[in-house]
Amino acid sequence: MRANKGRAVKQAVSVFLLVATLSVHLLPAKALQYPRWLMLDAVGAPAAPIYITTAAVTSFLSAPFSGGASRQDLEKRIVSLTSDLARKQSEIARLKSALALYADFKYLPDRQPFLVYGANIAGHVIGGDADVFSRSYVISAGSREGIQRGLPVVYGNVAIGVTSDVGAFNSRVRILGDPRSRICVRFARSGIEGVLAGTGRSTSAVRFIPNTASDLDIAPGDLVVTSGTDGIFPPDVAVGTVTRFVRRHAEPDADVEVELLADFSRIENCLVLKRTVSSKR
Amino acid sequence: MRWFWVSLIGLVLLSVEVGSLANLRPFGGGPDLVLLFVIFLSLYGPADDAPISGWLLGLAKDCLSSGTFGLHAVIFMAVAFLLSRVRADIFLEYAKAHVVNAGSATLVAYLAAGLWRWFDGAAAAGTPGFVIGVTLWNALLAPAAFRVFFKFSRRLEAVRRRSS
Repeated sequence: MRANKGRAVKQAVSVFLLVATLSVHLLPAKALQYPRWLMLDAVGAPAAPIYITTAAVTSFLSAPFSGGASRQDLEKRIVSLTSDLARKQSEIARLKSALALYADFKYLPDRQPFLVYGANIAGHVIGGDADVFSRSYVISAGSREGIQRGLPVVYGNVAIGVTSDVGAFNSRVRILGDPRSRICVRFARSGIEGVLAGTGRSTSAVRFIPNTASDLDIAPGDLVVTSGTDGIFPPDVAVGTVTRFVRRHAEPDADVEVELLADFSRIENCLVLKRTVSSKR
Repeated sequence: MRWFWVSLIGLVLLSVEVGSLANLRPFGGGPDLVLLFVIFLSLYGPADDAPISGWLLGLAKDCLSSGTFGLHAVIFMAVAFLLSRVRADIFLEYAKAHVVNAGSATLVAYLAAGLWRWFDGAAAAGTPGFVIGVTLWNALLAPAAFRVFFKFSRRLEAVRRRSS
């Protein structure tokens, strides 16, 4: 009798938990973030040494087999420096135009906000994603350091991803290869814009390219950079290079496959670009 | 006290998954140690506690993943429930049985997860590869993993069924 009662209670608890889990999506999205933030901080600390040790061992064991990558490393370095130069030139132009606007319109009552990237936050990669279908990192920086959701994350001058969950001490970065990742990009040579969508692998696909009703000037080897139009990444941050371009016959879209520049298996540190909106002129 | 050990072992396995296995994903998908633990508890632990264990461990995995919150909790709970109901009719001894049981349970769980992601619009081109990869890894690691989990059988109240 007592055993039957105990079994009935456990079955009732199981049903309740199932219904509660299915109903949790009726809650506001923000409510679902709290348990994730708590677990990020709780598991981040013990997982960190395991991840760092494994990453070091993996790099050491794979070093003899990566002799052919030195040329690629040099090429990637050249690409990142070129992108850096383009980004700095773009930043100079933007600041000059901002200065000109200030000089011309400083007496207007309405203020135009400017996006200023400064006081970036460094983070150490301490873990990965528990879900095999997703691609994300856990980094050792959280809201205590000023990190918020939706901030861009870079490795050197190469885009990595965007912060998604933020705990007090650790944060999750959804990397560009994640199937849910979407950022606005631009082909550096032709200026054509599109949206980069993750595929779960080291290559991503550029989609939603506006139909120009003419041949798209895209070729394998073209550099893909951020366009800055999504308000997440600053413009001209290197993303990847085109590896495959197939124009579908009589259709406006094209299949554009992009090899991401960041080697996600070797990233140990990253930089979170802190976005500040300044209303001052 | 049993739930304390279930939670502790689950957190340790989750730390290893997030810490080391996330960096090693050969052939598309690495082993899911938490699911292996859920399968073990469903086959050898108290049958009535299996769904709750599955839910608890799945929820912990959801908290450390960037996918749909609650997906692993529901799937692990369902797998644990099904296994606890059919375990009287399947063979539980020998390593081969562990391989088959773990492999089929993992395949069912990850097919369900893959189907959800497809309906959710977040399915990647390599999803079938991930499903097969995780299934194979879990099937191959099951005998060794179950041997480790049996070391805690007294604390987990897990009973190995003797073959007649």
